[in-house]
Amino acid sequence: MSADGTTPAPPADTTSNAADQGRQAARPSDGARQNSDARQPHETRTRQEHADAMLARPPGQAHEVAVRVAPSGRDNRQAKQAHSERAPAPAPEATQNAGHKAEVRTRQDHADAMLAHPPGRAHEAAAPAVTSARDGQRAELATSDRTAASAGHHERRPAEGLAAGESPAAMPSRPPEEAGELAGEAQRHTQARHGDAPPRTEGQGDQSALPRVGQTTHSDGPLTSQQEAGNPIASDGADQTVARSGDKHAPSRDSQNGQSASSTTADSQPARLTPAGRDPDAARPEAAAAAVPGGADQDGAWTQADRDRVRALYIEDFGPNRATVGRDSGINVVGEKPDRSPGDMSDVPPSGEQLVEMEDKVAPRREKIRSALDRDFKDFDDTVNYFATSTQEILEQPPPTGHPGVVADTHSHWAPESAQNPTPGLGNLPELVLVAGVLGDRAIQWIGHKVSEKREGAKANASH
Amino acid sequence: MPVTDEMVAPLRALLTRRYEEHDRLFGILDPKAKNPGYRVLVSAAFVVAVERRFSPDVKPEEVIEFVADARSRSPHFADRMDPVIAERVVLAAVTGQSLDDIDPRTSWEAQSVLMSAIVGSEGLDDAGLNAFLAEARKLADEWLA
Repeated sequence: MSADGTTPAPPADTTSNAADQGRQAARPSDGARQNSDARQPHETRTRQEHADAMLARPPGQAHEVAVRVAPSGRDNRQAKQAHSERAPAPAPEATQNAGHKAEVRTRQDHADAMLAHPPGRAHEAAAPAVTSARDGQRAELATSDRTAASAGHHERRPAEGLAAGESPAAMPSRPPEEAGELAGEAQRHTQARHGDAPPRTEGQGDQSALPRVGQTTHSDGPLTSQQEAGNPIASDGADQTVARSGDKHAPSRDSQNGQSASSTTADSQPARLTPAGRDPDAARPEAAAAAVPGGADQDGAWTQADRDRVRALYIEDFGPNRATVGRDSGINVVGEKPDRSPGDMSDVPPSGEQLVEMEDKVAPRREKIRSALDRDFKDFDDTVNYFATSTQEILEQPPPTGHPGVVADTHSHWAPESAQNPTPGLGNLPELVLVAGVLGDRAIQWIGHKVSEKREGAKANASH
Repeated sequence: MPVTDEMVAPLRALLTRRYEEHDRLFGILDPKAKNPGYRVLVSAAFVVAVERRFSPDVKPEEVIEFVADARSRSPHFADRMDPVIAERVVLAAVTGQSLDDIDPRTSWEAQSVLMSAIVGSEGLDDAGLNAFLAEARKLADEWLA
């Protein structure tokens, strides 16, 4: 695995096609992940983030992290579940919580989980204390998805037989032999890259949490410091299937790291390599049965009872009558209510009965008017004379026309208050006389001045 | 007793300003055709006229203005009719409120004069007047049934 924990580096000893396929199988299935993400509602992603926060903490902080990240009661129970699930037999409550989380998984994952177990041992393979095999499978799905989202360990995907870039739909078409080769290659590749990983010792975690032979456990609790460093223990219950060899040693970190298919016994490897389809009906029963010991008869084919059992389980979980089908498509959101009540008939036209009632309401009004206005009295002829006289006055009198209107000019016009060039008039006569007098005086002075200049000029010429 | 054409003829003559014809036609009616026949016909015509003139959610200001206009056009009606009673009669034709505290004669006088005021302001032609009288006759038949 690379440093960022997203894409593993290709091994050096890749020579054969099988090895190439195995290496590709060791890569995360982008197509599968994208397809799964596309069908995951938004709420599911949030839960995965919550799982990331939980898995990123040491074991001792499980309660604190759970309370801090998700203060709801259900998540608190999940935090407690982190400890309880380390025991080989998880409590039924914890299993139910895990199963509830698994409900938001896609049908594809659910079908894979169901087909990955021996059909005949679906209920038996789970922990004895598990309420049902279906809940156990849900818990496995929930924990495995959380593990994948937490540390980006997409390498656990190769155990499912998906090559890089291969569409999940192509899985059922892969023959079991090829799947086994892929698993073998993936095992060698994983051991080569994680060979230095120390096996889990007694000091790591609770020994009681160690899975027993042939037992599937669930561990979505907090991780150790080594896991936090980049190699978290996979919580996939199926990945923690211990070898049937009777070996009591704890599974190595690699085996718990989503690569149990490579570190467990050979009979358990095909369980994760089952090329089962996304739909049990569309799956290849032969390949799945060949990969699942006990799930097929001697010919490698599923028995009809197994098929019926799986089909019934699938229909029960994802059938049309399933109330939680909408969660997959993100239709229903917790806390939301419909805009209006289904019984709200406010915008519906009135029914026939309502129309009759409306007509009945009009009739009483006319009846009330009649009772108010139609009352008998005496001397009716005199009243008719008054009626005729008043009517003649009203009809002959033209209606009042009101006061004669005066049209007012509402527009404003700019005009000077006085004429800029007033014409001369009687009011301006003194001013004219004054101006004429001044002008005449100035003219007389000018003329006198000119005359005196000429006289002086004449005298000067005469003197010369 | 259904409304007959003889009952409708005096009212038509009055609304078409043939006052002498009205007096003559009304005079030849038998007593039961006058009361309740002609009386109920005029009251029904008043209800039809008010429903044409005012909406069900009529405001009191509109009724006050209408009564004031009618009183201004008829000095005889203005001297004899209390405007408050006239307004209550109009509102009773819309809402059906009780007029038990009002004299039936006064109520009918108000109805007849105000009906004439509405029809006169409408300016109905012969077809319009026939339709109006037909509707009033229908309602009067319901009341007399």
